[in-house]
Amino acid sequence: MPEHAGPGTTSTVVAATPQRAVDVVVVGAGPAGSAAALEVARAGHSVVLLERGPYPGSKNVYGGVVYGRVLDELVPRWWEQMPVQRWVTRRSTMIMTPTQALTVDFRTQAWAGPPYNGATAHRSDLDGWLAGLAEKEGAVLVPSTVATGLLRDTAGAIVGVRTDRPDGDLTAKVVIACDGVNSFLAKEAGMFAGKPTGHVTLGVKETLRLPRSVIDERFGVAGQDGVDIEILGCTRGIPGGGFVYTNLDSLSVGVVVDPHGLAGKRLRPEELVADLKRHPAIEPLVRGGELLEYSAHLIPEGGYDTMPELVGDGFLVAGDAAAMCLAAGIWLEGVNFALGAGMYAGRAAVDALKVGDTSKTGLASYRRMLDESFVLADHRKLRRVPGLVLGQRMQESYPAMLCDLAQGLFHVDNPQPKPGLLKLVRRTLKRHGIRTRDVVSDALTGVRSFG
Amino acid sequence: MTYDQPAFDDHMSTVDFEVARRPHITVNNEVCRSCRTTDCVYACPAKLFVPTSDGGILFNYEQCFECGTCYQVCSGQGALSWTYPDGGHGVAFRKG
Amino acid sequence: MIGVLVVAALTWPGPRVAVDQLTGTVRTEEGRPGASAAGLAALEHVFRLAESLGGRALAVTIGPPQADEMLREALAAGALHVLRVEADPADDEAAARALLSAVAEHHGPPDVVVFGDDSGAVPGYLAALTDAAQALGLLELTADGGVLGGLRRLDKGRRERLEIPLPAVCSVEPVLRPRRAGLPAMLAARNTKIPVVRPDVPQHRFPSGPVKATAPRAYRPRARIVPIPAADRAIDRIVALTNGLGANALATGGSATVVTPPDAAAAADLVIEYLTEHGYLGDTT
Repeated sequence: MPEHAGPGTTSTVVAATPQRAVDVVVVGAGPAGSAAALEVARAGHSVVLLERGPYPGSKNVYGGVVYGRVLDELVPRWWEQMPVQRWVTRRSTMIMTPTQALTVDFRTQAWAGPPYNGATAHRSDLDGWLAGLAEKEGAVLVPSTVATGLLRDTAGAIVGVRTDRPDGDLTAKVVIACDGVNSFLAKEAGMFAGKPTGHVTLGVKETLRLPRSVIDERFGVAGQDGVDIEILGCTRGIPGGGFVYTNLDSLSVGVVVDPHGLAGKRLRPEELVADLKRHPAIEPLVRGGELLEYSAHLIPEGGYDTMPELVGDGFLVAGDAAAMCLAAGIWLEGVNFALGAGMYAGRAAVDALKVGDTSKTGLASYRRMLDESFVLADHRKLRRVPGLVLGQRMQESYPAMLCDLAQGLFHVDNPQPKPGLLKLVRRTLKRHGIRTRDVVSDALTGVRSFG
Repeated sequence: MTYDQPAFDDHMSTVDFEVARRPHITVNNEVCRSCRTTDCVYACPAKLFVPTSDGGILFNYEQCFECGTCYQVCSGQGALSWTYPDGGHGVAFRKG
Repeated sequence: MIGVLVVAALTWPGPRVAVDQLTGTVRTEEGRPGASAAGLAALEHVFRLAESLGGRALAVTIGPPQADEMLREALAAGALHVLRVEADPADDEAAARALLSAVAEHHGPPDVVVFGDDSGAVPGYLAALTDAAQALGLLELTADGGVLGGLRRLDKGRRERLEIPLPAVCSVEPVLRPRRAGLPAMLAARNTKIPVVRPDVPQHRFPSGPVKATAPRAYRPRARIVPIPAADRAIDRIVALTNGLGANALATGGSATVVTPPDAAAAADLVIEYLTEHGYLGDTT
């Protein structure tokens, strides 16, 4: 019976000789996989990079901004080659209710030149470029190939992968699983044992074509400068958030929601996107856009506490597969973490190959490098943020309360005199049934996380 | 002149699929008939799960995004058999 | 060079056309990279033909460097040779010339060329150029005892069987899926350099451009000699000669309109009015 990759995948025990077909197999040619393959190939080891889609990026969707600084370590002057749509010079955080919107809008021209800050891109371009970098260093990219399971030796150590091609077993000294949010390989390897599962959000996105000049005008930018807007309060109380960002000749608009919350409200994801596009604060931005592509993807949003074990015997996990995504309402970062984790996974594999020990002990430097870098430091620091941002108060009460507060401040109700600020705050909190105790508690969590 | 919000079928027609012969996801209607929540009907971003009058689920695998939402939200034991389509098949995003 | 040369001519997808729903403006966007379903069916047919004819399978395409990927997969799946033709043919005839010249230069004249049925007029031109048999839009293409057999759809669900002599140019419907390349073959093909040809093809041998009209002449049909009808009255003889139509109606008192205009000008007006009413003069206002 032919084998397929899924929740039911099983490992095959093989009689493994020390001789392996290649040094490293990387599963998944996304940012994590390509960064890993690049590092391994650069060190002179043989590496095969498997991709289940017909081209890298064909199965990938993201929600806004690629932060490229981690590429400094991989590609000198990466910004000159990276296939970028626009460089983000304007970053807005918008809090909304169905009729109100409160925006914190920041722009800086410091992000308009090297080394830049964030960029928007199409994933088929970006992932193709990254995989091409790995190929140039000698990695062998094999597209249209699914890794359907792991090969193990009799002791249980991972010694390769089985693919869905004829004669598809490929033995390797190290397997790096960068197989994305569903990561059946990491699950099969037992890396999620005892970890909370199901912490995923669903992102749906529409890419809308608009003339470049119209985008420049509506968003107040010029040249290759771009805008990223992250939105809270646009998901009708279902935990999540929304986003709008600019490409060169198109806009991407979408929402990220807890898929478990949709049925309870009898709502479908594309209705939330349609809602957002009709909102008085968003409609003028997206008006007249012609739908180019509709897409959807799962995002691991659970943060640090839901991450799997990262190192096994002959096995490393990186990127979305290791839940290295920060997707909590107004944050949508993942490509940067994936690049970093992939890079360290590649380096750890190289270290282990050098000393000839690819066991869990030999590969332990991966965890150490991650701990010392932004990848795990950020996630450790922000471990409480997903719970905070996806909680009911942040999703429903606070957006409404803040919008009302702003409206109270700016509303001129002559001949009534202006209310004092404190009185206004107290009145607004009371109207929204928010206890001062909760506000202080949430503020403390926020301060602890970001401080 | 403005574009109306396109119908859902028009949404799906913007996406490229290389449809495989093998249905990579199958639904066991025996289990679905006893399901009270039908989370998949609401959560599947490609709207592939359609409730039938006899309480079952009509499922089409052809235009699947392979996102995994259905198996994440499904509470029925054995209701879904879920795999990735074979290499090179399935969805291919251009603007992801 | 021994054995029959069987060529799969794959089409690299050009830009696809998108029509704006609202304004109807047409724009082009990048097509999905890779061979079409019909192209892949052609490839699989070529593998099978090469096996049964004991020949060599060649996969060729006209395309940019991105098309190397498609050829690599063809190589891994079982093509003996691949060839990428770098050319920008102005039309299907130039494409056929470019293909032919590239294949002939590297591998000799092809014996069988199989296209996908989405290849426009290229197969037709190629067959004309090489004086080969032409069988297009096939459902099946097999080789039995050195003779190609084809099956083609006809109207009303019927099928016709074709016996196709060599050399032949065929095109197939997307009915077969290609075999899947094994992993070792895929790995081996990754490091293969895809040979590239830039054929030097004269752009046009035949004059092209819009259709030109020469000096117009009046239409003068050749006269026919018919015997004089036997009738006493002139009108009866004319009716017999014209044998029907309006004149017949006139004779039998049918729907013909008899008018008696007072003068020539009024007669002319009536005639014009009649002709206009029946749509012979078009819009004369």
